[in-house]
Amino acid sequence: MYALQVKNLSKQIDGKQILSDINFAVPQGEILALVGPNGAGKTTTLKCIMNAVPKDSGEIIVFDRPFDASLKIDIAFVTEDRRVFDNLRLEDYYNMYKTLYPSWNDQFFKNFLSKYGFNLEQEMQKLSRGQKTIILSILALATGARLIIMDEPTQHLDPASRYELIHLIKQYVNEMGGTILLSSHEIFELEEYATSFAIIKNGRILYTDTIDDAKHKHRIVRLNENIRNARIVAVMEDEILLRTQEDIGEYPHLNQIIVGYLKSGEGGSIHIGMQVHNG
Amino acid sequence: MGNYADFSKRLSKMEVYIQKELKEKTGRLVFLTLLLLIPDLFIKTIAILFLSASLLAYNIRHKNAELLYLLPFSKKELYLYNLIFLTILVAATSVINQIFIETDIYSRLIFILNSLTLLLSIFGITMLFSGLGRDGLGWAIFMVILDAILGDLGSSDINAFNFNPYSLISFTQQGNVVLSFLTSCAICLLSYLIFIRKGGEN
Repeated sequence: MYALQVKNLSKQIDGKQILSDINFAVPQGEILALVGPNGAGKTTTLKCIMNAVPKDSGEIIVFDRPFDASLKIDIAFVTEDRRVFDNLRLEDYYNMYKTLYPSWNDQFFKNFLSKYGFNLEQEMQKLSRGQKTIILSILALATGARLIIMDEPTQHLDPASRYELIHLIKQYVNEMGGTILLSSHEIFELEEYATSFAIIKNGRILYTDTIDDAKHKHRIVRLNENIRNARIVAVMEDEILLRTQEDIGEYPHLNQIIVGYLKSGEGGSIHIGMQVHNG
Repeated sequence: MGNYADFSKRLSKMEVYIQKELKEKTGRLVFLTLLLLIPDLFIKTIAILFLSASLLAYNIRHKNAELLYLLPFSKKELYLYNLIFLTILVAATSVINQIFIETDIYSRLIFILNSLTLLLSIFGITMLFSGLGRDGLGWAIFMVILDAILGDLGSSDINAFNFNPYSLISFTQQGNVVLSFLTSCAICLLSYLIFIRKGGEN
């Protein structure tokens, strides 16, 4: 069962096509990372899922139901800019979330409040960006929502807080059975916590898969190696990223797959039984 | 029992939203509420103009409304919370206005209805243009001035040679209290429908 399915999502803003036929799905109990460069359409996609930005066309299915506002009690969202309401203290946020989310986990929230030394009297807008990231993530995780959407969750965090947040994300999925959709352009850390990913560029999904399956479906070969029954995804310096089931070359790292697709921009073309020479 | 629990939840949700607005915009809301206490329809018009543009319309104008849309509020709910809050505020201040004026009950009720007519029209126009991605406050000011000019032409007396039918439904002129109130209700309903449709809700 999928927690979220995005089907043929398209969006234009001021005449510019921001999203074009976006398709991906997040199975329940998994962490899907939406990866891509700045301006690829990650944030717009996430906001369209919540109807914070109305979509032009396409379908959003949440827990097997077409999205409507009543489903938002089961979805928590952490924004990229960590913007907060003016003049509101942490206590106001606490009361707001506790009222709005029926599955609110008070114990979880209070544990982390004391762990990080937050004070309910603190004004949210006066917190540092890193502190806001932590507190907004804790608020989202404490909602008890079955799906959490996090836009660049580890951005602006020091290494210790980053490690803690990744641990919390994994705990939320593994122990509480939640589902997470997050966006990131920090591709080197994704393997630490994500189970699947979707690569987005120029408002289009270039590739989506589980991390394990993606590695099995691709190989890295040297430029002068023989390649058969393979689709060249991208040439990266002296290596080639191939999509193939043939037992050639080496299994790629996740970041090589992501960079390969981002460099290609397209799906690549099929080359059968050819030898690629360096130079 | 189920209905009561549901109603109670809805009320708590509205309370959370209104508390957020009061804490976020305390100074502005207090000042405009004080203006509403002045028993003069012209001053009320100005206060209602800025009050209508101070709640959700303000967040939309400052690209801040997304923060609300990402929480478990629907756009329908947000529109209605704004309308209910402003209706209570305008009605309550109008009642207070009338306590200190020596007049008959009919005139008092008419004054309250006049105030609500202004509110429904101005709030409706503000939210209509906000929903269309325009400057709600700017358009509301323009429409109030336009309505005042058009409503002021000729006479609202149906037997007069210079009878101006528009003055009967004008929300600033209110040549006919019932007709102008009904017109304001229609403006507000239209604004609600466009706001939620443009916001991607059915």
